[in-house]
Amino acid sequence: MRPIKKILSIFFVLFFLFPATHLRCDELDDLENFDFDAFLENDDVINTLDNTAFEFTRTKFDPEDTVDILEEMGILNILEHNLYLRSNRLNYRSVIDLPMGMMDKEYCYVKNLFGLEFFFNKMDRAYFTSNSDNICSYLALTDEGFLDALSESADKAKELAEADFDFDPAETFDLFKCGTVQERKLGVLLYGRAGTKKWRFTYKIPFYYLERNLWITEPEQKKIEEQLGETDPEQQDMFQDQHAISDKLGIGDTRIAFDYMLTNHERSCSRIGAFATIPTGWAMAKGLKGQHFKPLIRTPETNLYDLTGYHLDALLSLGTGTEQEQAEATQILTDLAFEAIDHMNSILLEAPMGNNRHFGVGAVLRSMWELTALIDRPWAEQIVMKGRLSLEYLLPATETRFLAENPSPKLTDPAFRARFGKPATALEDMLFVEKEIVGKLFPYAVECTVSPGFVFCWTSRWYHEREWWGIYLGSEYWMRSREKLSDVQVPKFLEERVCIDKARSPFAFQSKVLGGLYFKINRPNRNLVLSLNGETSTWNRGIGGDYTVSLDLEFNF
Amino acid sequence: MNKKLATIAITALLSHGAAPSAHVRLDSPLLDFIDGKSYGINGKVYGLILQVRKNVREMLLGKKNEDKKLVGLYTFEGKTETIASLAKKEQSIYNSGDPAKIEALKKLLGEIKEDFLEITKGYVENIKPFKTQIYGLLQESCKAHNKPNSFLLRWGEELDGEAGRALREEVLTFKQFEQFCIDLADYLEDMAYSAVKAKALFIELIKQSKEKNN
Repeated sequence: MRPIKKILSIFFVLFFLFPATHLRCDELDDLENFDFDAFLENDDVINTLDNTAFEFTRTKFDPEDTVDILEEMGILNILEHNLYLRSNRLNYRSVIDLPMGMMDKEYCYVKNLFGLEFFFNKMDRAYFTSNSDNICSYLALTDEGFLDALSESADKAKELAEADFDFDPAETFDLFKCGTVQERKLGVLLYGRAGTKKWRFTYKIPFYYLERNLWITEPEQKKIEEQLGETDPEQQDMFQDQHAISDKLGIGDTRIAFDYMLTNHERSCSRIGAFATIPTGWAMAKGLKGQHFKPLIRTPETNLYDLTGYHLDALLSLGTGTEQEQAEATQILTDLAFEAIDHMNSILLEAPMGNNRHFGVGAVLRSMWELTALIDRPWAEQIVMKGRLSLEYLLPATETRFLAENPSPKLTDPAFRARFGKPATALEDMLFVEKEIVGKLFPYAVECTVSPGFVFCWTSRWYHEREWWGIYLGSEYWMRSREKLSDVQVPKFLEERVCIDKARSPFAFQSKVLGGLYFKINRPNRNLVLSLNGETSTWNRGIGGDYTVSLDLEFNF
Repeated sequence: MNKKLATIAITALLSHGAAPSAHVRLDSPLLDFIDGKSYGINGKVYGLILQVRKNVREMLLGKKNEDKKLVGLYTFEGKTETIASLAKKEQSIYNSGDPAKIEALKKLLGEIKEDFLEITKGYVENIKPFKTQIYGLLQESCKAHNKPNSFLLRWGEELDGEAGRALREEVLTFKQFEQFCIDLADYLEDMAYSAVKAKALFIELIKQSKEKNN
């Protein structure tokens, strides 16, 4: 072989062999750049594998892990959105404001009157806002941005959990969007009147059972069961009793009134008066069938640290969690969910017996005239129109209201997002996330002065009365002004994060039709009237539509 | 000489990067998520993966002795054998119809399977909690290696069940066991190849260990 050819051959061999030779170098610093096969055959690697007992034990996530997972799951995008769109209490009508009691059917003068009216009132769908009785107007169950952020996280979880995880937030929340609150009142209204022909004193005080519950219709329930799986009736009952029903038994506010005969003609008369609502509302017993939900006063210490720290791996199946640890983790998550639901219930389901300690003063105008004043016919003599017009001012009082925190401005700050989860700030970031989650799930309970404002009521009824029986039909318009909040004791750290306006109950209006049938047992100078009454709302805003049926016993003497 | 040099050169060429790699990069989001994380595949877990792979390959092909020659870990009829070599011989032993030989082979298979279960015990305990996720990775690896019917998938299904039940009851020949070991080693290699961050942490461990020893 010629020398040049030999050199070329050697060069040729070395050229191709060089990288392979290089791959076998033992420099640890270059190990990462090794070809993978060379890496696997590397002496240091083999020695380490031969002489080390590798184990994998870890019992607790550190903040860095936690923040890393939460970030990966898109927690910041979720936290950018509000869960509570509003945090107002639901509007209600005091029992003494319902068109019940003192039917005042006898339009001739009687001195005294005492009555017992057994009633049942039901509101099928309470209003969360001025014009919606669906809970999606209160919670962001249909908010696109919120659902998108949740869906992204769910997709991520789905990717990570493979086939085990199947949760579509939009689809699931859609099942609950028409959820609502129902209210029932069952009790007796005691009322009476005494006085002279010119001056009269009247009073009424209810004793009743009040229940509010979360509610979804039967078709919705079936749909939920189809999607999320059936629960047995026992579980359903347990959930209802513990987390979906608030009830109490007690007395409501007391109404007293004085009126004076303003005009008195042959076929008509009118009276003017003043009245007061005395806040005697008091629950003697709470949580009879359901619960009494107290608002959670948050403290910086929550169980989220435990949840994100020790149990997150078990929840996400990312660790070596034993069955017991997984059960504990699931329990913590379940407890947190129930705490959040119960806190929401303390806003939505806790209704006062009466006007919630608001003293009320008002003026009333009553009128009564026979139809013969308009139509001079014998049949018109038995038809009488009675009207009542009142305006009441409810004085301010201290109440608890709830403030939903808006997302932290940090969440939209690119600099914060860029440094989020870095080791140096991991603990701080984890506490931030924890605080934001708590803020989102638990609107802040604060004391404030609530001014409910005015309550206006106009009732008119047409009576057709015979010697021993009668019927009546009528209508009613009721409205209550939007409440005002003042002296709201917002903690300093929340001042820029809350919108007090969202905590105000909206203006409420109801129009109703009413009617009844009554029988009289007449005796000299006294009579007993037994009546069946009913009323239902025909149009409402800011407060749910309701109906009442009652059985009234009225003694005139 | 020319011929010899050229052969070496071509071999070197083929064994270098220009050759198509047999390794598969798993692109599961799960792997991406847990790669290099303390709660996922950290340096120690990476070491565990490589250790199991190495042990399985040694069962399959033999362990290198001081002369760098592969020596089988098992003895059959006075000869050292590997799973691969026994798989080759298996059919002829069955064809011989010698009941004693067949029985001895079956017994050896049982013993090797128990060995295998012992070797993989730590790893299996470690991955049990993520059975579903691991199954996804196994599927991806089998698909990439064009082995849709691999027993590896069956093994993955049984991860959280009674340890080794499927292996004991359903793998009845060396041929089957050989294929299973190949597939498992491939899968572990794919994992190690794909977990780039964990690999760096593992190298860091080696460095620390060497520094400590020095």
